[in-house]
Amino acid sequence: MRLLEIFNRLRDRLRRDELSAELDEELRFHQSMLERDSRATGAEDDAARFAARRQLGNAGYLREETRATWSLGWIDDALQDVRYAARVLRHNALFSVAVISTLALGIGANTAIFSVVNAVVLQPLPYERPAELYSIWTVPTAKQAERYPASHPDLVDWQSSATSFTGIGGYVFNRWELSGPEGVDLARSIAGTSTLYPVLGAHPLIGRLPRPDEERVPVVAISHRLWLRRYAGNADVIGRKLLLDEEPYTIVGVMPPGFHFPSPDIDLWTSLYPVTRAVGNGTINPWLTNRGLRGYRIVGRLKPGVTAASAESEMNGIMHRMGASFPDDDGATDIRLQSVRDDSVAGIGRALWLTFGAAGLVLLLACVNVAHLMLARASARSREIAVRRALGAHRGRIVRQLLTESVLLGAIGGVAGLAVAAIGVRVLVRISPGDIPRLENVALDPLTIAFAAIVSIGTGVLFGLAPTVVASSGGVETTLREHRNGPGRNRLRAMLTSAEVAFALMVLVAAGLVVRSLVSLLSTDMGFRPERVVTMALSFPSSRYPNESMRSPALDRILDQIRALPGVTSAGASTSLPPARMQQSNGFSIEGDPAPLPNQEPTAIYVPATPGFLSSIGVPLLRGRDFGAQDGAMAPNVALISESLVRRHFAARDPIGRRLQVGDLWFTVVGVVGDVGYEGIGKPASPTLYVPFAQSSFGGVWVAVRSSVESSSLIVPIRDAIHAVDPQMNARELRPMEDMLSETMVRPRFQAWLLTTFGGLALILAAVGIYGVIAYSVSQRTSEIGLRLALGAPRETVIALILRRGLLPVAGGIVVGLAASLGLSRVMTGLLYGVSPRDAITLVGVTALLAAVAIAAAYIPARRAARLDPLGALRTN
Amino acid sequence: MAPKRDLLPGTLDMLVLKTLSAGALHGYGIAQQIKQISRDVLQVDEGSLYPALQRMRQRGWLKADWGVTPNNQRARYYTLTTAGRKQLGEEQAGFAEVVEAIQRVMRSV
Repeated sequence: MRLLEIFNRLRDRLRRDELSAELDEELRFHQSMLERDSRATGAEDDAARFAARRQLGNAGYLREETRATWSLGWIDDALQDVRYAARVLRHNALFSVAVISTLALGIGANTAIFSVVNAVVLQPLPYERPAELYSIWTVPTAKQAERYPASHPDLVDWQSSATSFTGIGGYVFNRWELSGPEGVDLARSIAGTSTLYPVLGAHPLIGRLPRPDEERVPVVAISHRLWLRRYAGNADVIGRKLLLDEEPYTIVGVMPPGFHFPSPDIDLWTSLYPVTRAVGNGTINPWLTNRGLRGYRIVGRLKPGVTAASAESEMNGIMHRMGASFPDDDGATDIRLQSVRDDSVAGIGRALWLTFGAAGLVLLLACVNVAHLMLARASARSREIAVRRALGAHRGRIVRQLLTESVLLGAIGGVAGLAVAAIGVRVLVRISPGDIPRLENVALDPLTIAFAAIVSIGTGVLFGLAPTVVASSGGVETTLREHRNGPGRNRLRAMLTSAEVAFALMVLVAAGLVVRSLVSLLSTDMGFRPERVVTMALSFPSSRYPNESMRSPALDRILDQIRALPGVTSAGASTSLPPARMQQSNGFSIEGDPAPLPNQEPTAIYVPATPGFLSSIGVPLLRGRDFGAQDGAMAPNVALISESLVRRHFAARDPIGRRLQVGDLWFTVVGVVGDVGYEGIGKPASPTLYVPFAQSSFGGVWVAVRSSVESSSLIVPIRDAIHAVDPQMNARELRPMEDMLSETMVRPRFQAWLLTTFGGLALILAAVGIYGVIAYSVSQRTSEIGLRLALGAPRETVIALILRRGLLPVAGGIVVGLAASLGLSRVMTGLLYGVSPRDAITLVGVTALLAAVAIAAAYIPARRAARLDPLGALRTN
Repeated sequence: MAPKRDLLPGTLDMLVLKTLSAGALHGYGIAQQIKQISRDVLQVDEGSLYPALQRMRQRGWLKADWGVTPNNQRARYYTLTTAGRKQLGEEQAGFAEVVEAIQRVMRSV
């Protein structure tokens, strides 16, 4: 067909009524002319009319043929189907509302979760060809599960010898106090080596990233978030000076929103200046030259066509040769490559997919419920359909009509679902933990809307197909004579119920496991007591505290001021704070023990702390003594060690009085304290070594204050006490320790909240489905039940009969669901804490819950059946 | 009266176009014209004229306008367009080729 013809057809289609009237007039004219001709040959009026009609042919057929030229073929057929479907759905408003709202919930939940999965996991990272980017980790040959960074000399050697990469770059983390006319802020940064930013291939929103020739120049690119917060999105920020710990850096660029390298908490990307600038008395920073200081995270970009596996084996070869040259620092070390994408969404991606899976199951449940409804209605309509077939409707045409109805329902459900998703996305973003990368990119974008559209149509076909096949099969005459459910239809219903129960059980198992995991996280003994403790971060910038020896006396004065506040029972400070603020970990050796092999030196979390810190956070002293005023900078070095360090490295020996070596320093153990974790809730406590802050001071500390009064009432007095000592010192993150604790629990709570929501939805949908099927079967069998009752069957027997038939598929579904849950349990490992993915209590518990709900849902219609009036019931048919 | 013959399939469009090439006509007029010129041999199923006219109008070969007959009756007159004239030429050439081919086959044995 040519364009003109299509256009004309469309135009004719739109003025079809007008054309039709014109055709009628034309035909009337034609007929009147033929009649005139007839009469001219002497025919009577009637005979003339008859002859004219015969000559003109079958007028109905003629009109039909002509009308066909004004129609759009299958499009018109489909429109007719849609109009008919809409009429049917309007006439069954209750049914339609039930279906549409069920679908809206299912589609909405899925679309909302999909939009998150899409933004966080699926969207390409904001680098050029992100699939080529790999993190390069060093791994002690003896401890393959560990992942360590590399040293600067390692990086330089790799760059010169590796041929698998177009470039390799490294970076270190820093934490800064930002100052300047815009106010004081706290931010984390990375400092990249000269090659890092070219390797990333990231594109700033404005300006640029630090250049390779700026390794020794203080320049910085800032995050979009910081740009908006601190500079109100002003483009003239380029070239301005930003003070990092009071040293000026030139702002050279602003990164786009959603650029999170390597993690969402980074706001600044500096050159390597923080490392390359001369330190203290003008010496070169050992972090540039010491091969043993493995502080650099490494990223490499693979050359096109090079696989990660071959690059890894090349890197291992290089590393083993380096190990031969530098056995002390690089001996017994392997290399592992890990894609940057996996690094950036580690854990989160898996949790998201799990949630997406749960949402998908809920949608399937919704589909099954709708299929139940459609099936019930198909039975009710079987007469209508039989009549239409008897009148000559093609089976294909009827299937198409029924499918149109379900797809229309699916489409309306999809539109309603998009509205649900729009709300859902907003709620999700608000309540989700802040550490999910690129969450700010979550939106109902075209891809998400396309997803919703495909899901809607797909569900429409899915739930419409089974009833359609059933409805259009079966002989016309049998259906017309009596309408009764065939055994096939009942089998289909039972299968749907089983599937429904199995889906619901799978969602409930996942929800149950995550909730159990959360409970076990919350009830873990973390080794400290956060109640009525206030914590805060303080730092000693080198501008005001140029000499390290000035820090400890200042801190002591601040702590004395705080201890004097009414209600305060104790106060102390340290460089790390449980449960998740670990400042550093060091290797150590025990005097008298054989020297460890390279890379197998024991390590411990190294915590300089003041007297009173451990008692303030409630870590018990098990043996020996706490630090005291006597353990000053000039006094003999002493140390406290944690129980797990004793267990692991002293076995049955008494550690008190033994000496430990850390770097060049020797510490005498004076006490043993309880275990407490610094590396995050849910992580086991690592061996920990405490030394007096006065003997190993540091530029930043966490202060903990225990009191006998309401924590929040101390916030202002503590701030004032600090200002009394140093008016320029500002406490950061000054708040009750329990607040910080609950913040670290946001992610497990969020996960549990999401899955319980889906679990609840699944349970409700399953209950509604089971109830609906049994209620329907009772209504279909009213006369049979009436007969049984009339013949004297006890009501209990009738109830038992209905429950047995109704619950058999439920039992089948439970078996399948349990098997599937066990089969999929591997998905859950790594997402759970303190509970096995095959946890028997969870499996039994949710099965019991589901079974109880199923029995309750089945019992209601069963009891109603048993209360039927036998005579009334017999008369119904 | 000569025996009546059905139209060869596919020739109706060509006959209508040819008939209209002499000037505008209404549906009845087209049917009469074909009958008369063919001396009643070609019997147009007068009803089937109308779907064909609609199709040709959509293809842009004809224009349809309401007019008045000499007897003062309203009737729809069809006129050939330029595209229609071109189409007529093509169909005529094609038809002549087919007829010639058929005749060659018929004469051969």
